[in-house]
Amino acid sequence: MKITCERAQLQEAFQIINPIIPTRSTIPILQNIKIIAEKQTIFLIGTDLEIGLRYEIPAEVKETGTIILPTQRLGAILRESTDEKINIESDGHIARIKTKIGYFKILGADPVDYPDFPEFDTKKAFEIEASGLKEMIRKTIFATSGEITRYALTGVLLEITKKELRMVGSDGKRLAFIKKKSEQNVPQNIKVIAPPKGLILLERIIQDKDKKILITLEETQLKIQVPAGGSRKHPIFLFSGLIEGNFPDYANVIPSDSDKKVEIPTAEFAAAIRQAALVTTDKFKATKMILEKNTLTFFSRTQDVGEAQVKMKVSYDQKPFEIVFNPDFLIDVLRVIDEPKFTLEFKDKTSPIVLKIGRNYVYLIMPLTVDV
Amino acid sequence: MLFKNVLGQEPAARIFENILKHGRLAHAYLFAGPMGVGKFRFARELAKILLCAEQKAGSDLRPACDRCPSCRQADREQHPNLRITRLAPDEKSIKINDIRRIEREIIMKPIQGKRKIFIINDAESIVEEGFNALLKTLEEPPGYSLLILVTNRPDAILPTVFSRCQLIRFSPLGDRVLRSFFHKELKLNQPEAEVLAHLAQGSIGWGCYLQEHDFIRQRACLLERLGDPGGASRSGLAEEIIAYAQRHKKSLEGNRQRVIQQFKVLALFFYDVLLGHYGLDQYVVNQDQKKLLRKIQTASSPGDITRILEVLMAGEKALKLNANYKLVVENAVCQMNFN
Amino acid sequence: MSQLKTLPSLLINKIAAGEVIDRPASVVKELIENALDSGASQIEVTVAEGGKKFIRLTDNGMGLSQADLPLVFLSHTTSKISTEDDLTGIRTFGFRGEALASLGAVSQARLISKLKNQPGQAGLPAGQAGAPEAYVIEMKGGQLGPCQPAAAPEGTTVEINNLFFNTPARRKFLKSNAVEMGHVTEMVTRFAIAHPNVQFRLINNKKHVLDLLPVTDVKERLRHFFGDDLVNQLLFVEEGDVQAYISNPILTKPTTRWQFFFLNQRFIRDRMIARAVRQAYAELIPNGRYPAVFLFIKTPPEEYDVNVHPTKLEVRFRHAWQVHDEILSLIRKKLLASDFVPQAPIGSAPEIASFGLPAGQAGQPIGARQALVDFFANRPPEMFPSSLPGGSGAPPIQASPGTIFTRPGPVTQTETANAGPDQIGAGQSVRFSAFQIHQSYIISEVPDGVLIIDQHALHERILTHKFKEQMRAANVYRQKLLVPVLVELEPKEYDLLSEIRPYLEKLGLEVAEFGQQTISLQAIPQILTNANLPELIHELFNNFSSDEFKNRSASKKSKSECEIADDQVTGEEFDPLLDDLINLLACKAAVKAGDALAPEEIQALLKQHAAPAYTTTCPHGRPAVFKLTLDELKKYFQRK
Repeated sequence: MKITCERAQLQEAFQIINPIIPTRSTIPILQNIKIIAEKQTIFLIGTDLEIGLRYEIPAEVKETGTIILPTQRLGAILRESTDEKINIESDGHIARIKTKIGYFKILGADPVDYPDFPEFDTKKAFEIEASGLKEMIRKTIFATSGEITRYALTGVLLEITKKELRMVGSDGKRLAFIKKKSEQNVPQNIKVIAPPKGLILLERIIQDKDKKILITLEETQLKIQVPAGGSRKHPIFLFSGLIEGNFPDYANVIPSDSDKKVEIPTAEFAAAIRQAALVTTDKFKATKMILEKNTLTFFSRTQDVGEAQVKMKVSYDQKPFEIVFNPDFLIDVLRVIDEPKFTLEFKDKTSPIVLKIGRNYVYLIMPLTVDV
Repeated sequence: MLFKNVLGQEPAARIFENILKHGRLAHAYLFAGPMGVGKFRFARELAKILLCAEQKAGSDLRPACDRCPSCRQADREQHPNLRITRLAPDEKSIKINDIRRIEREIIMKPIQGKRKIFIINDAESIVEEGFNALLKTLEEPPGYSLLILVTNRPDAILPTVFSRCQLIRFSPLGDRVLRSFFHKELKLNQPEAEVLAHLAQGSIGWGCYLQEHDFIRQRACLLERLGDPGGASRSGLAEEIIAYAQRHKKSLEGNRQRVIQQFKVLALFFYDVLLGHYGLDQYVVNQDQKKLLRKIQTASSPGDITRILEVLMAGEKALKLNANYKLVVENAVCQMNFN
Repeated sequence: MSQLKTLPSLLINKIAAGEVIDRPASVVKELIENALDSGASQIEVTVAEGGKKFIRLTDNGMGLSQADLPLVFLSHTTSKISTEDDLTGIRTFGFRGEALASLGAVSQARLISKLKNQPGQAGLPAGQAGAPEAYVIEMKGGQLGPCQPAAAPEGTTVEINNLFFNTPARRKFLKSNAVEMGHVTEMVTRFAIAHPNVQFRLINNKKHVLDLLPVTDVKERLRHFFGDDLVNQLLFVEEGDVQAYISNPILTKPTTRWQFFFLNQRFIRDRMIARAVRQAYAELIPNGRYPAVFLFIKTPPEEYDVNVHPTKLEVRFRHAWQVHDEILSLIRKKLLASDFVPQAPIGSAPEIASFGLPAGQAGQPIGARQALVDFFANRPPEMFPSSLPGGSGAPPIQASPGTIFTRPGPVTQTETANAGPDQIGAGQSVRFSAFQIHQSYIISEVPDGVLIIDQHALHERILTHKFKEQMRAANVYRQKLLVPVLVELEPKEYDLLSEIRPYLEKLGLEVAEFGQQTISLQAIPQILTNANLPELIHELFNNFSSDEFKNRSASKKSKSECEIADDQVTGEEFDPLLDDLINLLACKAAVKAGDALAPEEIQALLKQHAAPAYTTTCPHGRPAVFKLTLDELKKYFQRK
């Protein structure tokens, strides 16, 4: 392999790939970056087996080839250099890197040991708007569980059905559901559970300039391509492993029989619940919401801390009603709601609180109950 | 011969050949047997066979090809779908975090290939919380997963975990396997390889361990002391034994073990003397010590030798009952007199 | 007839071979045991250089005959047992013939003995008539010398010169003279406590180390060894075959070295007994401190086996749990029946910093009982009033008498300092900086020093406390689950389900049966939001079915009998089972060692730490907070 490329571009690629590469692993070769030189392009590949990323940059390729190099070391050389261009030549598993003033010889690893990297098949892909996908991730991922024993809940459910992409996040006590239409039809329905790591990375990669994102859902992987376009010169390809397991049937848990409804102004409501939560403490978070005629009251009291009561005006004329819940669950969702208004729905003290935000976003919270 | 890279352990190999032929691989196995008999190697070989890229779908499994990238990755323990956990060198236990990592990894579907294989070596040292965490995984193992716990102390496996694994027993290796291994791999000469095979208790690991700790050289020292003329050699022999026992390990148990090993060397030697008395030279193990054998044979009567062997056996028994090893050594050596 | 017999080989095999002699103290032990066996009432031990050079023991026991002497040094010779049946009925101490034989093999030993003039021997045949003579025999490195006449008083004298002279390796193993002497003294001390009626004298390098006249009351011996301060704080208890002097909970020691257990006058170590003692003092003394206990048990030899270990330090009781229970109930009863008036701290007992209480008040092991009484007498106000008066402000928190808000003393101070979130700045301990180290400890600056906090232990305690408060107020929050969590039970666990179910419900775990041996959790207590539920459920069952647990429930029964008065005070039954389960829950819910904490989490933890004291409510926890005062720092850096 013999290439010359722009240092700044190479470094940018490094900055994106670097966070994926594990600093410690039972499989040491993963601590390396794989570089493939083809025609006028070089591909940089990094993976921790859970997620992987392939980044393309243009280069002057005099000789094609593949090399596996220690990420940290190569990254440091790029950082320290001030050159515009950088030369990399390989000789077996050894790389020779030339800058204006420096010459480095770095020992690489045998490419045979590096795990296979999947390919992206554009033909099978489902197309979705970049900003929409970003929003969907943001609005579901916070509701996932950190508790690995119900491992399906640590991930986000992705489902493609009827020209729609749906995503669901839940930790077993609350659930966030969002859907987006796509113009493109997809022949088969498929459901997978993706770990949050890949989605978070994707959310970071997608920029305002991106228009469309291509997704394929497979049995064992989720593959995403951020295509070139606009100022993005080369596509990025990202894959994520999938979580095995059964995700709760979201359609069944979203109630349809809530008989009490109230329209809520987002900002005012968010301020009120945050104030009411001030007196709650770690692990003992409980706030009571009381709905009376045209008034909504939050009330919290914690032993050794104190109590809080916050009121706001709403238009409500149904039966008075009260319910206790963990205020954090509400505060979390209010951070991602962009709409100025939404609807709250209830049935009884032991049924979920339902937030309907716009037509495509539903969030529900299981209440806390106390035996008296 | 599916398991061509495994030494001995034919019964286990037959069991798995059968299981694989009928496609009845379970999700969890417990490989139990003495240390150093190849349990872990067997597990790794099994993984290698299952992961080998040369396997054809629909047809019977073939031995690992040893050439494809998958086999090479498995041999180097770098295979993405083969995750190996073992006791870290300076640790006393496999920590809960290690098990949590397995839990996290096992739920991720395999990226290449159809299986994901997890081997936990030294499974007896998993902390109790770790076993409890494993339980959950064992209750609902993903279809593609295979978990192999490897241990030489099946009694230390949490019973609820034990009962969820299929038990595969590994037995000590035969002398012939050991002898040829020590001869070929450790480059010992035939008599030494044979002596080591006798002492290794069916365990390649144990034999290698002894060899790594200069045991063959120690044998030479002991026999040399035994050949010393005059009474001075007696205390010399005792000191030699004790010094070796103390040299490596700090634990009392380790010291006793080393004394036992040396007693075995001596017993093996005296047994050869006894064989000489009865004219059964062809069975002699210590072939490289003919001169010394003859010398002691002429100086002793068969009765002397039987008594010495009894002394050594009694000493070994006492050591296993936690007797003070220095006393035992002194006592035994004092009684090792003839003529 | 010779009194000594050579043990049959079968018997020899039954006695585990062992490390009988490993240091001078063990020589002394064997010799004293022999002396006591021979009926001595005066024992004098003389040693030089910590016993490494010379040990002599002189007793006034019955002595040995000329015929016995050569046999003494033979292996497995003993006058004490000769058949297997005897082994199960060991009443004497040195039943192992090995002792003298081993001694003879590793030293230059000399034994002089004169038979006591016994009535039965008056009519011996001619040649032995008149006063019996003394005889001496020597053994050097295993070589037995001849038995010769000598002059000596009645009794036996054994001299051991140059221990291990012929085994240099083992000689090297010995510690300094002072250390070996320490062991010898400890050994004589044990015998002296067990045998108050025997005169003991210990002489080292010609100096009298111990000179103990026979006494009738063992307390006098204890006074000699441990001083008035300790002995005056001892309570005497006796029931059946067990007698004990136990320390008032006010007096605690930093280690268990002040605990001596004797079984038929033999000093023993026993985990079961130690455990019984620990449990008896549970909740009454601070964690990490130990009571002084001198326990004397008499029980027929058939009830235990001393032949577990050659040194005979450990025994195996046939009915270990019964022994445990008897001792536990004996001590516990006494402790709970006594009324302890808090006294000034004794001596230099180190202060235990805890939970934001001013120094001095926290460290006192007082009022554990009072705290329990308080705990149950208090009913915190309900979390939520059943309905709110519409429109009006929130009702004031009811500060009725008997609630925790009016706890006397230092608690109130801390309480007011942390009354509400708006006053956090006023709570001094919060204002200062804090950070985490090793992902396990929190270091926090306080006005008079530094707190080092075990994050798990502290969080666990806080959670335990709060959870109990919720339970008392019947205010346990149950987080409803969107989708039930299924837990598959072991058959054993499933059998226990009906028994454990009421407890689970009390804890806020809503459980429904779900097909074969599976339960479904519909709701969980809020503190468990992030816990591993199946693991927790298995552990709950495990705890519930453990022996310890059964034992505790048994002790609960015995407690309700002996502590009726106590229960009347509290008016509520203290249920140790539930208590245990709560501890387990809190443990699972708390942050673990190794969890990295965000700065806000650290602050939250410290804030809660500054809230009311939980010192005494978490009886099984380890210490959570270590305080290094500025004074201590100054002292260390020699600024003071």
